[in-house]
Amino acid sequence: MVDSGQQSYGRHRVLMVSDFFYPNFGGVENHIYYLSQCLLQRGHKVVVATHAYGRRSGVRYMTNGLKVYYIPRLPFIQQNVLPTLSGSLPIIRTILVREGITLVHGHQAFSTLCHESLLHARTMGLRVVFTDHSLYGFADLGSIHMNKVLQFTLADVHQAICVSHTSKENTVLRSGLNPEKVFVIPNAVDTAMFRPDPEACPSIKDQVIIVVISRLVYRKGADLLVEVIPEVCRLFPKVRFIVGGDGPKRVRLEEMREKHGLQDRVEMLGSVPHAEVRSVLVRGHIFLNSSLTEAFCIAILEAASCGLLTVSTRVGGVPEVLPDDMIVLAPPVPAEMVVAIGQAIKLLPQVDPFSMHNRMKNLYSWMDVAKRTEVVYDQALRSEDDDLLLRLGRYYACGPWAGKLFCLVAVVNYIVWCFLEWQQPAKEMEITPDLPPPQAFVDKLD
Amino acid sequence: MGEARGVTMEGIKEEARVAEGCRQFEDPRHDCKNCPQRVRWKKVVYGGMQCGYADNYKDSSFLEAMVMNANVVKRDTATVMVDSVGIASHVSVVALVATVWTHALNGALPASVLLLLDALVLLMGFLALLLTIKCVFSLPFVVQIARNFTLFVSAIYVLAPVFQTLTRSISSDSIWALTVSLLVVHLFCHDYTSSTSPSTVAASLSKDAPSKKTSKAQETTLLANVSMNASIVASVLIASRLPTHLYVFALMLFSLEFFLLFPLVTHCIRQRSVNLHLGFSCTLIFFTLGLIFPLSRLAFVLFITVIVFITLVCPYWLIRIQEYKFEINGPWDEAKLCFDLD
Repeated sequence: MVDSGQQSYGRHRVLMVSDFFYPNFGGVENHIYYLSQCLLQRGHKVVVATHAYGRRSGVRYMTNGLKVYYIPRLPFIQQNVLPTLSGSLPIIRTILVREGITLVHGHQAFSTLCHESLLHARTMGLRVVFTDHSLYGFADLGSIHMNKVLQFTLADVHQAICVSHTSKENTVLRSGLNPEKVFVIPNAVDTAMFRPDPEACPSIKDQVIIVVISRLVYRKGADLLVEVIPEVCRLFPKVRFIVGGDGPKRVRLEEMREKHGLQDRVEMLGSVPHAEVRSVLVRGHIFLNSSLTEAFCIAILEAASCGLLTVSTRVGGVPEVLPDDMIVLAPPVPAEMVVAIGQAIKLLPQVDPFSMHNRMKNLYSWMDVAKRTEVVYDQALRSEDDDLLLRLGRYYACGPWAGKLFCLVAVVNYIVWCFLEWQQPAKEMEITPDLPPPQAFVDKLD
Repeated sequence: MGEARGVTMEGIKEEARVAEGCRQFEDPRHDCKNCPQRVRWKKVVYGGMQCGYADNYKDSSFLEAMVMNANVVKRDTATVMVDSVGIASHVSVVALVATVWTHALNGALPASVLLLLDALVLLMGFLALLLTIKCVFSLPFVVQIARNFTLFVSAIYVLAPVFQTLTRSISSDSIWALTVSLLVVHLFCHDYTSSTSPSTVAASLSKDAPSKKTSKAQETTLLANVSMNASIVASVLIASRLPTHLYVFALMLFSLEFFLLFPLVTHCIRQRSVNLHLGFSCTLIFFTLGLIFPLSRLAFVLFITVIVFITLVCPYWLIRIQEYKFEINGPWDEAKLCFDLD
């Protein structure tokens, strides 16, 4: 393969930073891991920084020598570290200097570590790219606060990436960023891992199995499931449900199962480890996603890659994810969802899991995501480096009160950095040797 | 409402061709020359980078689905002003009670006169209810009201000695300060929805999801309870400064008539007719003004200012700031469930 790094601005040295990384599991974690792996394979240097998970603290190495810093800071709420503004500057600076990082790539809008690191990187004059993985409203207090923080970070970001067009619209509205600076690069799916297995599921002549795998919480539409499942079971006697996942709404689902006497038709698995998701998916014919909000929804990709027909609520970025004939969409209304499931059951005989799988191979690949991200990195590197004064001007424009506050934070951070530079000059710091790039790899991801 | 079409071979071939064309391509600028013709941009994320369009391409359909100020209730000045009269009338009720308290504490209002006043107010309130309430009076209903009322009055009478000595060890200054703060709490937490037009309330509630509606209703009842209790405690505190049991009883009865039973009367009048309510409220406000004037010039001016602020300045202000309303909705919003969660 021709390394496009030769055409671009040389080898990037990237620090991926987010509060969310393995051993935690989810869309962001997956995205960071696969993107890092592909970038490594494309000859860039990638280092990941996250906070310590339990006793997993310090430096760890993953496949292909992907170095992960588990920064020893305690998670405070929902896996986020306590916001300390300049408090994390010394350790982040040390990582940036020692690893010789040229570009910092932060992930997820509600990761405090990501926001802080991006600020530090800007203070040190590095290029920053930010990826937003979720959607936010504008009405409640939490969102208003979150949007202000995002505006602060994005005011000084070189490029931003969103995972869907809806997510881009949302991010542009929330942060007031120029749409030209925001790129849309979706997630992908490891199609090699999610293969169909026709032996695992019964023939659709005997049974139709609908699989649900999601956290059972309000935002994922667990309450919709409570309304939809009994109605579907009543209308279609051949249908069985497999519900994987755990959460506060599990009790309601179990109540529903008792109330309608569906114990033999609705199987509740509890939480499913990610490694076993495939073995659950391949047992079914239809995948049901009932989310009330979703920027992208990787679960749909995994299901489609396993050859399942998807039925989903038409929310957020979901309509952009799959071609119309691979997914049946419905508004998040129980009656409409039931109709959509009926439609999907009618479509089932035409669906061939393997052709679906092969199409998914064409539609999504992490290597494609990595190549497109590289373009964004190149662009970030081309943009000129601004001095503190220009940056302050941008912060100041963020709002009558917030603007001054942002400036103060940026100035304090700059002073702390100057102090650190005086106390331990970057020139005198020991540089970590780079690992040799991964040897002739099997490009299974491409 | 699904949009699934049958799997067309054409569609798959096209998709594979486009995907192949883009995938082969290594130039980061992605000026796709392999593409047969310039394809129209689609709002989709599958199939890799779209031919001829960079990832930061901004289509003309950008933010097309954004809706602004969809849930904003349009208000007109007249309605808001009429509604504000309800608030002003409640403020004047509090002022009226406070005036009577002051007179009683000064000894200008003997207990017998106060008792007479109690009876008069009670009679008038009952008459007003009789004339305005929409349901028919039956014998059991009247008996029930009479029984409840007897219980209520005798309870106050029995408790009067307790009230009288309740705060003996506390200095009067603390009592005044506490009473004033309690009255302010009462005014801020009072449930004014019963004295405003039902349409506004319905409009402001209907835009919320059912789940939110119940939580909003719960919040309102909680605040209403806080408000009612604050007014009762204030009455007890004031009554505890009076010399005799009978005095305490008379004043407690008077306060509770106004704080507990009066809102019911205004609500019934409001239900009956808006004009009647307006007339009644204005009479009440002017009556209170007349009562305050001999007491203190400062209080008089203050009260007038408050009334003007509530009925004229606030409605104007509210209408003025409507133009700053900026509400954004779009496909990124969390979907609201259209059924009740039980």
